[in-house]
Amino acid sequence: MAEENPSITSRSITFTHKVPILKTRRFWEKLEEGEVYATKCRKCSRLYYPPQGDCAHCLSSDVEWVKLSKEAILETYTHALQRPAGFNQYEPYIIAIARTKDGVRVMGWLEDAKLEDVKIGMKLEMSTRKLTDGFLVITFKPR
Amino acid sequence: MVKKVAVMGVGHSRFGVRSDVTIQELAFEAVKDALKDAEIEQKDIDLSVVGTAGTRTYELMPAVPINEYVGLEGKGPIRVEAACATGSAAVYTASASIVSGQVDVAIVIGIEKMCEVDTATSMAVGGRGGNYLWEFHLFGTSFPAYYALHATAHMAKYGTTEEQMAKVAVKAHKYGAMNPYAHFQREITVEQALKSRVITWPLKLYDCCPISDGAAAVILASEDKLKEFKVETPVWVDAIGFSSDTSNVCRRADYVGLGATVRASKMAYKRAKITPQKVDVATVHDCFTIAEILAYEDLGFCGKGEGGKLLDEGQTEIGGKIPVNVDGGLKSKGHPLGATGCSMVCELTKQLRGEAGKRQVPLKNYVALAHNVGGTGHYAYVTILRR
Repeated sequence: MAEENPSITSRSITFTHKVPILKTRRFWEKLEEGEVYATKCRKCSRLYYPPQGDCAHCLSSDVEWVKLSKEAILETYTHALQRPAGFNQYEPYIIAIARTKDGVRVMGWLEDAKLEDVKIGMKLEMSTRKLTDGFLVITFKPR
Repeated sequence: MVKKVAVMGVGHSRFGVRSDVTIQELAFEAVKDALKDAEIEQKDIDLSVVGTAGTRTYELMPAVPINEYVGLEGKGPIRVEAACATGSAAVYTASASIVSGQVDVAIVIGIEKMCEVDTATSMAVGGRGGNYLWEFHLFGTSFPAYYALHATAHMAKYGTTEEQMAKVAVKAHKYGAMNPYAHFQREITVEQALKSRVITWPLKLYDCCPISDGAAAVILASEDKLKEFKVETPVWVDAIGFSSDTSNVCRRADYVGLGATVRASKMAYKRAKITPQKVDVATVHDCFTIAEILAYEDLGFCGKGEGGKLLDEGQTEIGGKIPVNVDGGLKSKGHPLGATGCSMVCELTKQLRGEAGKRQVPLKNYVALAHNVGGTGHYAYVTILRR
């Protein structure tokens, strides 16, 4: 049996990072208010979701914040029963990708829907929710 | 002057939960095997390229420790990382060093130790293989979840079924049972696969490759060196195509294929001056069963949406139109990230030499194709070998 092979325990190491959000601060602040924001390049008009402070197309850093429509259409989904470390404290969740009226795709958790009733193409309402441990998540509900 | 590159020798460790060895000791098995196969010694090697994602092991920068342990100190190393396509990126690096005339003989050591941490940790590392901040951090995406998103979309658009995905697993285990290097060497049934527990719906346990340790080594050499060493049946590295895609899966064109595979394969076919129909045998990146179906379509082995049908007809088994993953694939052989691309070259080299034993495919054009994806189409490499 492989489990029976002798081993010693390594010195442990834990990474918890400080993620810089200076350029995307508005996104994180607006999540608290139930809104999802994208950025738009003022020079070439490209719309970015996820938001980014620099335009990969024309290389301008002059971007404006744009509030995304809450109306979205489901494009695909999965029911995550087996969850990665950091997410096992939550009930299994449905990860969904939906396209908003603005034409960008947003990932989120699909809630208040039975798995068997979920269909690609269904209309969704986008919002956000604060989880019990303080992390924010984007949510979709059937509309 | 651009030089031709050939595979001079290949080596493979047993894949699986290798708690009996450290990463260096695991590398030793593949390197020794490859040196023996090539009939050369360490002194004949100019450059070592170590391909390892290195995200789940205590040895975070393992290239030099590995090189020392296998007697290659001073020969490079270059450490290469391209997520699950690391092995192919390492083959590309070594091959490019020879093509450009900088070295004549290079060894590629593809290796991964994945079983030293628990499964939830491993899933959290894998989930970071896309885009941490905008996907994993917010939504807890794991690799099975990413491929499940593709499976759901493919099922809805083309009517691909869970049973067809199960058939990928059954085929993989059928051939894995004949591969002494495979993690799982036992056959399974469609029913078993369908009844296994759900991981990320619609993917179940048997739709997912295992978490494995393993190493594979490939020795590449220039045409001049082959003559010097009198290699009788060289397998030429005809072309390597590569591409990538967005890290944010939200920004992809669609979820019914991998754009990176399409682009990498077009580059490879063009460079090798072949069509997909010329391929005698292929290894494709079946980290999840749906991924093999996507690969059939994206590589042009069938039309878009016809991947499931190709399986139903048994066209990707030995004796079919295009045998795929007759070494057990990632699903049954295992998928130690850095080792996978090299393992594919090992298998195809043996197939092209006619040394694959019970798993030997009939050779017509003596052309083989290795398809290696990193992430969920974040990277793709397509390598064409020819004898």
